[in-house]
Amino acid sequence: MRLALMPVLLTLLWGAWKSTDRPASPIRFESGLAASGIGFVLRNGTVPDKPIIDTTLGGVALFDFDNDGFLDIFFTNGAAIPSLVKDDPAFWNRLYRNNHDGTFSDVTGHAGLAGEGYSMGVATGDFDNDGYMDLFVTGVNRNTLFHNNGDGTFTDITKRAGLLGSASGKKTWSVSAAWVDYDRDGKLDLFVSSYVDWSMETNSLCGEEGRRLSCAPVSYRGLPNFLYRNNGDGTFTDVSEIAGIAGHVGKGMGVAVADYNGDGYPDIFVANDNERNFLFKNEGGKRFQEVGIASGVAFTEDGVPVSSMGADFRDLNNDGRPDLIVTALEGETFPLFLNLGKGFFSESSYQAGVGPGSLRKSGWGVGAYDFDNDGNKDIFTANSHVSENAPLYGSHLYKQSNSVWRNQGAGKFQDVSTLAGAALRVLAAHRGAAFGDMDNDGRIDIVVSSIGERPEILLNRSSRANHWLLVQTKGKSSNRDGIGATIKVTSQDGIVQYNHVVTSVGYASASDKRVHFGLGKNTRVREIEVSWPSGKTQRLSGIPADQILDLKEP
Amino acid sequence: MRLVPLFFLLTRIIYAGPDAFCTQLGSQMRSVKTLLDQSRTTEAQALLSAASGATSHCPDMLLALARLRAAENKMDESGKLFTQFLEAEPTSQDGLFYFGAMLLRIGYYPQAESLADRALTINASHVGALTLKGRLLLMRGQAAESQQTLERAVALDPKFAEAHFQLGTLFDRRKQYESAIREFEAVISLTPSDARAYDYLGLNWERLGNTARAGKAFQVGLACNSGPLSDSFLDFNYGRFLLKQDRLRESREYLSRAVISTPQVRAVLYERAKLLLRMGDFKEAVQDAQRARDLPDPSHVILDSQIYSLLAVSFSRLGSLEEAAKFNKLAAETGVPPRSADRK
Repeated sequence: MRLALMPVLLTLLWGAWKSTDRPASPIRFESGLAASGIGFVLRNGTVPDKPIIDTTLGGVALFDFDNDGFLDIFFTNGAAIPSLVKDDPAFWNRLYRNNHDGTFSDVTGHAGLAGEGYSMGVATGDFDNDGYMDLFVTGVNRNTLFHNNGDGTFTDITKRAGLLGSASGKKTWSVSAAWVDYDRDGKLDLFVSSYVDWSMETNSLCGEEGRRLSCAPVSYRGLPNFLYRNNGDGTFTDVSEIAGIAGHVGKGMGVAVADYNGDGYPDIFVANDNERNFLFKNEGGKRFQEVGIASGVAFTEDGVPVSSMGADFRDLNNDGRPDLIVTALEGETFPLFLNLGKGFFSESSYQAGVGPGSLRKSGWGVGAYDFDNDGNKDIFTANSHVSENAPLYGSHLYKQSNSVWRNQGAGKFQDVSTLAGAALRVLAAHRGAAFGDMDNDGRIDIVVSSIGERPEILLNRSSRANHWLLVQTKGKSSNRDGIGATIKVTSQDGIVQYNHVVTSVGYASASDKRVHFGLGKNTRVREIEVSWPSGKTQRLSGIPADQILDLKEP
Repeated sequence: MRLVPLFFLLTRIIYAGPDAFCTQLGSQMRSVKTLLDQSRTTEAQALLSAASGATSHCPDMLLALARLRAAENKMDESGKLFTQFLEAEPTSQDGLFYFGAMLLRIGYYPQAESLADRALTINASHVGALTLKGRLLLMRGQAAESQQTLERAVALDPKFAEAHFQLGTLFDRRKQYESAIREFEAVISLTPSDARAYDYLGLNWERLGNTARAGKAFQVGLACNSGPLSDSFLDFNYGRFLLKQDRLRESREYLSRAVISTPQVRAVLYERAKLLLRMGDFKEAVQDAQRARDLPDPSHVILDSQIYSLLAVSFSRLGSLEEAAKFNKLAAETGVPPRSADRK
């Protein structure tokens, strides 16, 4: 008998050994790409000279364009070089409608969203408060505002809206954008980051012939960012100068928005590549003061700028103050700026546990979301070296795996990338990342673009033992999306969490506007407190967990 | 500068020449050489003292004494002894190498290279001279040639620790951290008391994100940080490392030790100012930052803009808004030297 059982025992032991070989993380993702039907490939149209534009594209949006309650996906795409023309459908931007069963349908043609030119990023927001989310697409020499007609189609209204995007009559190169009601007048305004003054004619060459590298932005002059005030009639006014934005010229990449000092007005962070970052402090909705250095977010703790790429601006340690996580390039670490209150931040990458794991990565997209619903926001970064040919110059890895850091509480993170499933070990030239609950199961999923490849659809398969809440805000006197509303959730066990409504997340990308909270073992929320951009405060109590809560402004 | 006149002494040196007595010292001198190669200077000194006196004219004795004095940082005396030795043994590859290495330590780079080249002309496979040459090539920015030379030295004598060390520093500079670690571990296996190698090892483990191994390397290095292979920046590097780990009190201990041992180094004061800012000792942070600002930093290890930024934040935290604004402006306006245009 004993002998007969031996093979069974050995099999069991072998299985146990295998399973303990890689201990599972509470955060797990699996690829949903194969089933999704998504065939989009991010094409940068690269040429042997490797112009700087071919590395910086890849914005993604997760938004519900048809109000069916499910997130759809929009991908920006490149164009041919040097023409910068989408001369082939392979270069089209793409809109995929969510079929509610894990599959998606390409509706780009019908929607009229193929776009023109060399696209970079995307911002989502209902700028005209008609109940449908509109799209702003950034790009090289061309930005485009697509109005959502509510019937599955979009109309390019850029020119009429006054958003062609030029500085002193010169075309510009925009990367990220954010819809933000900076003056709290109930209409979404638009902030657009600008990168560098580049054209094919002024293109610099870096690296050696036959193995060119992307040039660092030091080769080019920076460009001023834009702030457009929404006039409420479908047009916008460029207020960059008078609002104190245009005077600060950096090399803008990611844009992140939060009310960091709790004065009720949204502030804007701009991640600058190889230059000091900007923090535009909103002074009563009238103008902005750039306070990056004095507040401690312009540089790392070492007092040097890094190649900042993407950024997310959320409370990482549940103290009610939005913190900043910024992606940067290999050798720099991803700076995590902890909000100390009173307008000060401290770079705490190492203390928070993000330093060592990010040191050898180059990051782009980034988002702080509670992936395992334990009540603490975790961090995801989309990674890849900038230069395709970098491996020809040393031990660099162009295609890199993405990273996920689990928040162990109080803002201390553990790198669980290698334990979070095979989907997190895929090597690719990752760029933009959009976050949202695509299947409405209460777990935050991720879509990541990759140059030259199909995207990654990372379906969150973390344990369902924990509870959650998704809050969908609908403004009345505030902007319709409720963008800028801050939400405080107190769970049954007394744990308090904070978040806010924002769509501009990470690098050149837009995420689910619904605000997600992980609730751990709590099956109810004791109280929700919403501070609307209009100034109204709303409180609800005794809310059951595990639901999408529609919250209308009173 | 002080050494230049030594060369003129060459003409005045009276040398008696080897004799049978010197020949009998052979085995003793080999032991001394081994001890000096392992930087065991105290033991070498003891052996030499026993054999000194009547034998001080013996070439091997002169060479050993010259090396010993160099290890003791008595460079004038060492130079005289090397000169005496080379007068007697002008084709001694070892003599040329050791003298070259000593000259390099005190900044006589062309002379050092000249001696290395002479040694290599006599013997192209002299490991010490190859190592010296490789190091000088790296200092001139000829990294590829340096690597080739140092790798040849390592291949010729894998037990020559200094070649591994120099190759490690080359990899360190080229950000090839795994390769650097391999070389520094080789150094440590050959010379377990080489604090310099532990320091570099710690730095490279840290850059690879392995804080446990980095911390261990720094600690072992600190435990043996004395003698000719000591590292004056170990306290600083460990203190900086601890600051990153948020071990603030320990960091303060090591950075304060570094400030005492290397008070004229801007980076050391700047790092402690960062620590003090983190600890909330804003006034002290300002003091250290201002001291750092006043120190010259020709290698641009710590830029003025970094110090201005730190002062801007420190004064802001102190509520001294006027001072904060002044340094904020300076930080914003003071340029940072452009990095390489290539993204590799």
